[in-house]
Amino acid sequence: MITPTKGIAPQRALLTVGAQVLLATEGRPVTVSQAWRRFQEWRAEHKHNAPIPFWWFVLGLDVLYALGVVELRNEILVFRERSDAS
Amino acid sequence: MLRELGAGDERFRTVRFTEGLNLLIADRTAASTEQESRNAVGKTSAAELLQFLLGADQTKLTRNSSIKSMGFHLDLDWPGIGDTLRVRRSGAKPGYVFLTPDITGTSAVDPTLFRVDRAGTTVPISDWRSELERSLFGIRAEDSGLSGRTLISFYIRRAEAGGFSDALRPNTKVSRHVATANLCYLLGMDWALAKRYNDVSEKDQTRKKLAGAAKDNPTLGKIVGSSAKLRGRIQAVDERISGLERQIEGFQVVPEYEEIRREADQVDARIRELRSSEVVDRRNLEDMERAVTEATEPDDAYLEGAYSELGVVLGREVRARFDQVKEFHQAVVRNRRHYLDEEIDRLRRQLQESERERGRLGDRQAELLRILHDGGALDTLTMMQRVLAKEVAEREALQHRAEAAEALEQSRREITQEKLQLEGDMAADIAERRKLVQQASSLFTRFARRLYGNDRNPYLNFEAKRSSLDIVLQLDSDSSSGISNMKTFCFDLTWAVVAHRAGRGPDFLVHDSKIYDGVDERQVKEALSLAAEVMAEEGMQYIVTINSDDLDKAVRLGFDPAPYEIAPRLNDRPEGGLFGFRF
Repeated sequence: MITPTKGIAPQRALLTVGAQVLLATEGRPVTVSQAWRRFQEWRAEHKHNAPIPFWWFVLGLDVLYALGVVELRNEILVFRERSDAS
Repeated sequence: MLRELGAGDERFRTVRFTEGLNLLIADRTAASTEQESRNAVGKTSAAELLQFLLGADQTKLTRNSSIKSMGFHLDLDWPGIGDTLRVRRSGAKPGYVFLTPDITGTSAVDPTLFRVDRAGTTVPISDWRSELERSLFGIRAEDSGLSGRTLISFYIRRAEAGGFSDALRPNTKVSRHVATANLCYLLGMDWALAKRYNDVSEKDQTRKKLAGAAKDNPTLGKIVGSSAKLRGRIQAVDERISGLERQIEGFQVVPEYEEIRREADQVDARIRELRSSEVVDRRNLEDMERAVTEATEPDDAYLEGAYSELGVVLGREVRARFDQVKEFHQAVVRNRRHYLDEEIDRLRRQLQESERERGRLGDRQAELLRILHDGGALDTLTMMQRVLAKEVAEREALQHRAEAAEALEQSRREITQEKLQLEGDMAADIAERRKLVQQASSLFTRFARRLYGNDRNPYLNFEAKRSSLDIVLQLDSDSSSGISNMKTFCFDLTWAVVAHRAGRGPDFLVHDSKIYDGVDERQVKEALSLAAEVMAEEGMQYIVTINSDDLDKAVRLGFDPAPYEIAPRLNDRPEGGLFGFRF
């Protein structure tokens, strides 16, 4: 799930999805809907044709959150540099 | 009486006339060929000069350069002056005659108009003609239809004008009806009635020409067609006109027609725009609604699985506790739900708004279209009125043409009617003047029997026909030229005597030698004897130019020309002709 497996194509692995969200939004603060839209556009541009449902995308965000890369402030997704301070 | 024919050139051989029978004889010398046959002798010229001096138009003779400047004169008895009148005229100035003495002083002509000298007066030819009409024939100015010139052409027939081809016409130029009317005057019939044949005939000719032209000539045919066809066309135009009038009457002018049309166009465009944006909105709405359900689809099992796997894969990297992650997850989903719901609401509201607006616009559009349909722009109205005006003008033109066509058809009926009426009037008039007709006829019978014997039954009669008054000269003989010439002779003698007795005509009659062409000797002899007799009885003058060989026919049968021969005796030698020289 996090990494590609036999059942999960590399482009659908949650780490990949998270990375793609980061690339699609260019790390700027955006709304969830914007993040979702840009992520889809990015995938279409890069010929990642495997369909990704919204909830899988949210899991990708969850991974990023768990890793401390994004948080939700006032309904806005804010990406940040990872601080090694735990 | 005619007294003297002369010229201001001493070579000209003056002709002196006497009372009764005058023979102006032309000899043929042995030297002359048949070809020359007295061409230049001047028999014909004599008659021509008499005509010229009595007001005829110029002829080739008087225009001839050799004699153009020659002044000719004629002496004739003139009523009221107890003396002869001398009339002078020349081919050089044919528009005037010179009269001695000045008779115009006693006439209605204003003497101050003319250059009077001691010898006489210069008078325009038209006045001279009027004088002749008045004095010789007693024609009054108001007697239109009678012509002194036509009458004189009967008294002095000219062969080269066709004067001997038809006893009833003085020359080929004069119409039958006009000639008949003038003869009626001489014979004491109702000439005005006779002249009406000419009027009707002219009307008929005009009508026929017009009708013929209308048939043949497409342009004229356009101007005048058949009235029935035109009526049909008028009906068609009428229908168009009433249709237009109804339209115009019910026409409501919408002052801002153009603006309204623009608005209707805008409304229409807006409605389309709304429709297409609604389509997009609906699709979006469906997407959103699907997205709402999608977002709730996975359960936390996934999240948990993912988190634990994350711990396995990147254990040391995981910064958030599971419950934090879960909270984040729910917040995101909630946020997304919230956002989607709002979006869905917004879209629904927008769709509702759009539909409402579309409804409103639809109503407005319907209203605008109704206005546009019921009414119209001022431009449209003026255009309709222009078309109407054109149609009305067209109808008027057609109306005029129909009237003309009807007049044409009408006048045909009218002319037929008039002819019938005239025929009746004329027949009645002839019947009432039976006595006069009888007198003329008995003269004619007497003359003709004298020439052709008593076994014949010649007569003169008037027959009223529908299109003409016919003067019938019955001589029951073949129609050789000799016979027809003698018929002319008898007829001329008849009307000359009748007219002279009644004071409607002069006392002279002139015949060209042509009248004795091809006439048998017995008739030549009898005609000359008869003429001499009748002239003596009536106190008249008969002047005839005659070839010596024709005269010899009569002489052989015992006619003595000596008492009747007048000077000069013409011949075909160069100096022997009337003019005394060849030209």
